[in-house]
Amino acid sequence: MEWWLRVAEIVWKLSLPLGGAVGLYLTYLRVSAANRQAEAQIRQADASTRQAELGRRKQATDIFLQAVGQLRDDKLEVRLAAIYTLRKLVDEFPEDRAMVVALLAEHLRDNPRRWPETDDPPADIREITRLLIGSTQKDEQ
Amino acid sequence: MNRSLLKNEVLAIDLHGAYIRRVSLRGAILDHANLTGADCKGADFSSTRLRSAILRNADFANANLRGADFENAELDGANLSGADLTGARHMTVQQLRAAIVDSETILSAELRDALLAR
Repeated sequence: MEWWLRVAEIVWKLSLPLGGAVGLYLTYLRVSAANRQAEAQIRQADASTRQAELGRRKQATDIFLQAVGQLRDDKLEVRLAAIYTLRKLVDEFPEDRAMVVALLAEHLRDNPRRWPETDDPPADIREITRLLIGSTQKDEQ
Repeated sequence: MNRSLLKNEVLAIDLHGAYIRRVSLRGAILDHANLTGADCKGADFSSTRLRSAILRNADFANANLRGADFENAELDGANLSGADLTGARHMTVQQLRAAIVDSETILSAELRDALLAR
C-alpha cells in the first residue's frame, strides 16, 4: 500500500511538468502552422505584386511600341496622338522618361519630312520640342 | 498641362544630326547635349543653357542665340553666320575662332573687338 502511494505521488509530481511540456508542444505546433500560413500568404501577395508589375510593364511597352509606329504615320493627327500618348506614358511611368526623350530625339534626327528654312516646322515637331523643353520650364525651376 | 521632359534633371540629350530648323528651344537646359552636325538654321535658342554641349559642325545660321550660355561648349566648325549672339554668356574668343562667324553674325561689342584683335 505504501509503495502505491509513493508511485501515485511521483506520478502526481511529474504530471504538472509533463502537462506543461505537452501544452507548450501543442502551442508550438499551432504557432508553426500559423507562421507557415502567414508565409504562404506573403508569398502569394508577392507573386500578385510581381504579376501586377509585369502587367504594368507590358502595358507601358505596348503603348511605347504603338507610339513608335505612329510617329512615322503620314497623318499629322496620328503623329500628334502618338506624342500626347508618350507624354501620358511619362506621367504614368516616370522611369521611362529617358527612353521617351531618346525616341523623340531620334525622331527629330530621322524625320523624313523636311521644311524650308523660311517655313515654321510642322505641328508635330513643334509639339515634340515643346514637350522636350516646356515653355513653363523657367517658371517651374 | 505643359510639361518638360528635360525639367529639373539634366539629360544629355543626343540631337546629333537632328533637323530642327526654326524650332524653338528657348530656355531649354541642354547641358552636355550632343548637337554635332545638327541643322539648327533659324532656330530659337535664346536663353538656352548649352554648358559643355557638343556643337561641332552644327549649323546655327540665322539662329537666335541671344542670352544662350556656352560655358565649355565645343563650337568647332559650328556655323554662326547671321546668328544673333547678343548677350551670350560664357562665350570665349577661342570658341568663336573655332566656329564660323561672318559679318552678319551679331556679337557683343566686346566679343567682336576681341575677335578682330588677333
